Amino acid sequence: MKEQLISLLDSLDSDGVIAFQTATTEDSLYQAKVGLLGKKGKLTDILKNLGQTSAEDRPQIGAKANLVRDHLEQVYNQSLVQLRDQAIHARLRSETIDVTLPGFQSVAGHRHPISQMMSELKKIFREIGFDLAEGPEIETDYYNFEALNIPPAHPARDMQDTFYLGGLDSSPLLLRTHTSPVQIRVMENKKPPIAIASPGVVYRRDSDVSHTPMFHQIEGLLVDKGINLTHLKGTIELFLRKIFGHKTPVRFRPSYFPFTEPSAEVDIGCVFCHGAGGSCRLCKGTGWIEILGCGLVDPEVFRFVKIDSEVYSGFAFGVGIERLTMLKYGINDLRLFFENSVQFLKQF
Amino acid sequence: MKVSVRWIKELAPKLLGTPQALADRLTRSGIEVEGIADFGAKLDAKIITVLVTDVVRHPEADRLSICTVQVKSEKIQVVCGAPNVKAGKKFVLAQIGAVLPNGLTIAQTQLRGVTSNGMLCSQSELGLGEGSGGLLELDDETPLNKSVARLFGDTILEVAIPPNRGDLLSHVGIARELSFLSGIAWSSFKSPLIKGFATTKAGPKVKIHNKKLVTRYMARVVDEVTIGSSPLAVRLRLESVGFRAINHVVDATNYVMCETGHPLHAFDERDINGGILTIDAVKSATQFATLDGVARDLLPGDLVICDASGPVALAGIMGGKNSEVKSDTLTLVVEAAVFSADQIRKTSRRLALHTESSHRFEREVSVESLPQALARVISLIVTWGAGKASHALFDSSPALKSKNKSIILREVRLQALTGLALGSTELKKILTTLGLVPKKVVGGWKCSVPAYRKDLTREIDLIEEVVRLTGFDKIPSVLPKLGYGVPAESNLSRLEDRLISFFVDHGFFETIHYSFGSPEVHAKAGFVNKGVLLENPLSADLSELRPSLLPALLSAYIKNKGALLWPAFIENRTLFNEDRKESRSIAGLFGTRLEKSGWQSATPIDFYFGKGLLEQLFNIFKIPVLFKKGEASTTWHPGQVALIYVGDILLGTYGALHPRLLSEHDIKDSVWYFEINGALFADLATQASTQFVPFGTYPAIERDIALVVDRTCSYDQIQQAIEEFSPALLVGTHLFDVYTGEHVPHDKKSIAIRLKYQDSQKTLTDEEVSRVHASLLQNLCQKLGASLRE
Repeated sequence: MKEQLISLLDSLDSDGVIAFQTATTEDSLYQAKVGLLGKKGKLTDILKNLGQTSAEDRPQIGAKANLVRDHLEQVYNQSLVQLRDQAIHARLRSETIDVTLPGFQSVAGHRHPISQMMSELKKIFREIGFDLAEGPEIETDYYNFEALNIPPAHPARDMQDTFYLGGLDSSPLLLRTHTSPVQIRVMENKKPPIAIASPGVVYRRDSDVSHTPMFHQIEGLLVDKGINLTHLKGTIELFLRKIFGHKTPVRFRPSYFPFTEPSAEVDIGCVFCHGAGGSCRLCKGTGWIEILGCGLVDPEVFRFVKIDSEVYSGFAFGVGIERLTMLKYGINDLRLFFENSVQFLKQF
Repeated sequence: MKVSVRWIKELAPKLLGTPQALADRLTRSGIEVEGIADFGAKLDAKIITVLVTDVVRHPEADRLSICTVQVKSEKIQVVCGAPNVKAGKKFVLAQIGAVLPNGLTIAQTQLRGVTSNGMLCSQSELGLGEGSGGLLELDDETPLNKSVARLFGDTILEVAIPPNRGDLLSHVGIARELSFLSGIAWSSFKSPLIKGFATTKAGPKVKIHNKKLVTRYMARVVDEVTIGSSPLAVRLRLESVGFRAINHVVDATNYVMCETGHPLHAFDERDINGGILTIDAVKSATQFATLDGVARDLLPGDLVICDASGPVALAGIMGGKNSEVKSDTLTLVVEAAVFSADQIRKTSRRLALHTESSHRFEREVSVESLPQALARVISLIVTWGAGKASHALFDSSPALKSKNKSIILREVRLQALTGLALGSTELKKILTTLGLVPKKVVGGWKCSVPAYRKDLTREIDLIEEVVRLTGFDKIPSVLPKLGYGVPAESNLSRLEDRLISFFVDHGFFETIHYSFGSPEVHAKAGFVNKGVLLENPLSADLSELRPSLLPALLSAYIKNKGALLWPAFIENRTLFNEDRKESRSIAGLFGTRLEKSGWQSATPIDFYFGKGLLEQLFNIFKIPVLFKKGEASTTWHPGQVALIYVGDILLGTYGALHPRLLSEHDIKDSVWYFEINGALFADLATQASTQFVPFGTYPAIERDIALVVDRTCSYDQIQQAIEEFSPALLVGTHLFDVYTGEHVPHDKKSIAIRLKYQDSQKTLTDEEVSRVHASLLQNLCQKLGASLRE
């Protein structure tokens, strides 16, 4: 009996190994395990006959049975790992895609370059502690011209051809030709110290290769006791170097504006040829490019806003956003800004 | 203004330096030289003055002549095609090997079998202006065998004169300024004059009626006039500074204007009806033909010179056709005057008639140098043999306010405003250089201003002059101390970066259009007479300030649609309404995505796509909005438009555009558009504050319901019904299906909602939820006439 049982256990072991190793799915493997090692499995069947063996044989048969069970459990686990490996590999194979196909085309928007430059300039002014002030685009003659020391017959009005809206009263309505009216509006309502920057759109009745009837400016105004040309120079240099880099050469040339005196035009070292000059088309070989106008607030302007020019002084400066943007990105045609072609816009 | 360097150096012989150096000096002092052009100075040295000794017709060609040209001791043969070649006259020869300004190199050529050893040149071939066509005929006095470059060559500066510097609108003015800037003494200009005109005959009869607008009026008669052409040097000089040579008289007035800055005018005396010139303002509207032949509408107030029958000149702007100098003019009345700058400007602007004369009068000409200018022009005419001056002078100064201007410059003030610490000696030197004759007074200098410097009236003007001469580079750079608190800024200005970036990040292109457009285009988009018309637009296409951004965004869509996967545009700009009020609008427009944009399918674009985007925006900025069904209009699709409200304030509108509006723009696809009131948005976003609410940690229970309601019932109504009942434990609703079709009656729809119940204090039991849920359902069914779908 003992031999018979041992031989049964041996063949169970070898059958089991084959069954486990040939199972193709996790499920059939499990079924095979249940059939051999489960409560109602073959091993249980074999051990039912244990009672018919002698007491001294039983431990030996028992030990053999345990050996077979352990061995088969081990084979089972190996097969299970193998089957799981195969399954995951099969899944990975089926899920393999062509990673070189183009990705899902998400739409890319673009901010207008003028808007980007404006935002950058506003940031600079906030950093140096200026308020940001805005004003209406439809202005009166008084704010746009008269209070800025440009009386009706002044030849300086030629410098700024104006769009008029008609108007019944003594101060006709017009589209502001510069952001300077904001200075007047602020100084009328606030006592010095005043430090403002006013960004915005302005209009001049002019349209050719280098002029558009609408463009953008930002203007700075600082009024306090003891402000003079040294502060104007310091501030402008800081401002321009924040935009064009800290080594940018800056030069001041005397100029004329009705609302500032003394007045100056400011040049920066050519951003294209870096002062090499020669045949540079941007600076026409001079090594310098004109960038903004500035000066000390004219006492006449202070008189209009009832600020005592013997007590307070101040400086103002204005810069064209389009020009800065063209220089920054190397744009060669001003009109592109307002044509709104995506071929242009998508580059920024 | 064009400035001849040769002329300047004649007026200020001590002035040294190349044209470029002089230009730099001017530019650095605030008088910008915008261009430097050659006028014959760079002509090849092989281009010389010659005498043509003989001319015979070419045997083979009627139009060609064979000329014998004397070059030094040699005679050479040149074939020439110009009709004005004459034996015994002097011309310009480009010898063999010479290079003309247009790059042509002169070589020996055969013209119909005859050898030509050079080329006789015209004025334009030499780059010396237009001339009268034909060969440049030289005056008999011209020296022979001289380089043309040496004799006539010049360099022309294009100078931008600041509007306040009328004193620089002449060669004398520029020469004087350059002398100051170069530290060279300038003695006031004395032009070469014929001394002592005989004044045996009576002067011209002039009556000045309007004494306010005439500062000074001078006139002199020139008789025995023979009109011819002025000397070559004068003609070339006029051409070099942009004038056309016309005749003796006109050239003389132009020449003196360029030299002294005084506009002058000559009348044909025959045409002065009644023999008396009357200066007055026009009393009633009238027409008047100016020299250029254009009939001008004159209005009361315009200053004119009249004879017995009416105007003969528009004072200070242009002479009259009726009294112009003609080829047979025998007697001239030459006028030199100073008129009211304001009135000249007013008339000139209104008539859009801007002349060399009005340009100078508007910028104030000097009264003091007027006699000089008149004497100079008479001298030239007489010297050129064009007439005789034997009449007395008329001179009257009705509106002349002669005052010796003096201004005190305080040294403390100068330093306070410029930061320049100039020593007394240094300052005195600068003021003296400027011709200001400084006299020391306590704390400063008393300066007397030369009459021609109309722009110097205040201390600050002198300070500017000192800075101009010292140079900005002498001024140190100092940063002002700013400590004025938190910079103020409008809410929109502060927010707009984030706002625009939101749309840009979602694929929108930001555009910037002109604020004005065509009224027709505005009308086509549904805005008839809603904007503001400009009085003087550049063109009809740019004549109305926009009432909406829709027309502009539609044009961006039409322009770019084909170039984009998804056409979507955003603009943040000012709108203008009929009352000329401004508002800021943030408007966006988008179309459908290209169907086959890639190899994968994309999210479909419909009303809810845009709504979701806007909801996300309002969420980010914490603005609680409600979308309400909008009214039908010509702009919007009547069934797909929503008004965006915050409480009862309208914040914006969003919807699909009306198919009819689109088809009028030849757009076949659907297009969606939204506009948001920018300032309101920014104010609401700024006010929005976040308060922390403790959240429940006890588990929530969810129940799904499917309500069958009328198709016309809006989700808004269902939400309201739930909200009104507002059961205590309900913490959230989530719509997850809207269904019409099988199993639902055709006039109904099924709305599936997930309801979430939660108690912040304890774990809810099923029974508790069921109780609340059942009463909610009952309430909803009653209110909405709904039934539950099984």
